[in-house]
Amino acid sequence: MKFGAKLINTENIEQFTEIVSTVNKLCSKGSGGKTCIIKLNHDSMCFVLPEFASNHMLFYNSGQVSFWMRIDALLLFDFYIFEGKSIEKSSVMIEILPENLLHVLKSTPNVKNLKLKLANKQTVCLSIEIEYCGISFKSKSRTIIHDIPVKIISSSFMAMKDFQEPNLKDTALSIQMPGLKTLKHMIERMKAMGDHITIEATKNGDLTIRIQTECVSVSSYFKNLPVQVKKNELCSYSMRLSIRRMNDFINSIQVKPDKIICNFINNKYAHFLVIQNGNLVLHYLISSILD
Amino acid sequence: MNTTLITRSNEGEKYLLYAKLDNAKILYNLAKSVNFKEHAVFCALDSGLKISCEDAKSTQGIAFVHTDLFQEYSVKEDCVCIKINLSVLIECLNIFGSIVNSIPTALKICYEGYGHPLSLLLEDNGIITECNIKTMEADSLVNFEFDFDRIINKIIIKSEGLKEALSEIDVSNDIIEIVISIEKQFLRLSSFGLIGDTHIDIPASSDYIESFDCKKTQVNRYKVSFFRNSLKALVSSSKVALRITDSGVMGIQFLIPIPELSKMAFVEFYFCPDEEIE
Repeated sequence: MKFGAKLINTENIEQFTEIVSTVNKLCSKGSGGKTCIIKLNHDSMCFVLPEFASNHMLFYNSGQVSFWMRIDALLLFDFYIFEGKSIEKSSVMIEILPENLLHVLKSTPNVKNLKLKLANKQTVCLSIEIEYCGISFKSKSRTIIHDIPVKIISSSFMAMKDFQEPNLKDTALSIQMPGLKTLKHMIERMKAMGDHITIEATKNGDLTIRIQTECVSVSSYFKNLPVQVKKNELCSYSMRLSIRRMNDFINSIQVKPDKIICNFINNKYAHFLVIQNGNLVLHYLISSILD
Repeated sequence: MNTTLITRSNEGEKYLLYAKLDNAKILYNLAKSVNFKEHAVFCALDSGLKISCEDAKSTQGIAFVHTDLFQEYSVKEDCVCIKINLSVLIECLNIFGSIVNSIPTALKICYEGYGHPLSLLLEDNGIITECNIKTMEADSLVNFEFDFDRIINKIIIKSEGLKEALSEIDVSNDIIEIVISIEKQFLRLSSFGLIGDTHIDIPASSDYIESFDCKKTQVNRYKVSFFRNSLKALVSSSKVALRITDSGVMGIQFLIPIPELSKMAFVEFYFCPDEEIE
């Protein structure tokens, strides 16, 4: 097995840090521990919650969340190579605490470049070699190696199919959500007023975000949003979610997305898609609250 | 004096209260400054909107939004009073947040009358948010007997001065003593903490004091929490008028500049002196 990745470009380093920050926030809200499973492929990296893989979109309790994220490694990293052990084992899954990785990435702003690889140092580690800029113009740069212990997840324990991108084939309607800033603020204010939120979308691209309590009802109307109707059954679709979960989701997004899409599949869950330029795809699922 | 404006559109016709504000932030900031309790009495008078908040019949905060701060304002009766959840009203007014250098959020307030909710319509960049807040019967507010004829001492002080003085007060004790001395010509704020006593003297001659109208030396003690309730108003104000009656009742009036409209708004706080058990 061969794995090596290098980030030289400041923008790419920043972007990778944003991605890890997002993963860290997403994992900290999961129902299990705060670990994450990273699946390394020849062209991509997938981040998945350990519980997701086993539950695979089946929600037994309402208010559960799950996510699946893929980043285009060849585009994000300045250098990336991954070769599996064999044709059958063309990827590897490692379990890691994203908090540790984030801590390393945020340790100092003077990062010149960083290299990632897997190394065996008493235990298997994700080894990050960071070259820092010298403090003054004349001084040499320093290199520090951080080793984060990881666990290799065997493919017998977790099937490859568990890491497949969640499918959207049963989507009835997809609508693009309003801008992240507006959404963030609105959801935060609504959270102060109630527990549940209703999201309603129509074929015409109208989106309504509403809360209703004994004391107040607040409805926000967004018009002319890009919409795709896959099933022509109903004129509008609506879903009821926990505002706290919605707020956790919105606040987890530390990257700058190009769009956030809300997919209405069935009454069981809301399937959000956060897309950045084809670089990054994040699926976030929140099970809905049924009346 | 009839200050009811004629509505430009027919929209306001069916409402008991109809008001339009080009910048929701103005009402938001004023409402926040009196939000020391969850509920408040919201009164629509001929002269403007009055938001009154009260705690345990011992302290009252009133924010007044004069009709000239509104683009449109009409009220069909002399005084329409309702009780609402002020914290919720404030969250609604801030639903879009504030992005600097952008067009402010527009606000429309509509109230049909008894049994109807207080309706707020906010618009920002083409997005419309409708809020319907449940209304309740207004409680009668305590009368502080703040007789303006019985004011013994009145001091007008620049807000920065009062801010600085209050920040020095040791809050380990919950009492603040206010002395206005005719002999020594000063305003003294004192606190008596576990470590020691703190006295902050502001002489009448200080640059911070704009006017010092003292008829009799007074020593009064008040709960620090009453002053704390008014901190938000103090921070957004430019000037403060401290008025104390002969029975020690304190009336603080904050002058709040509204730069967007080159106008002023007023927020007042009233509270009684603390009864000492000596």
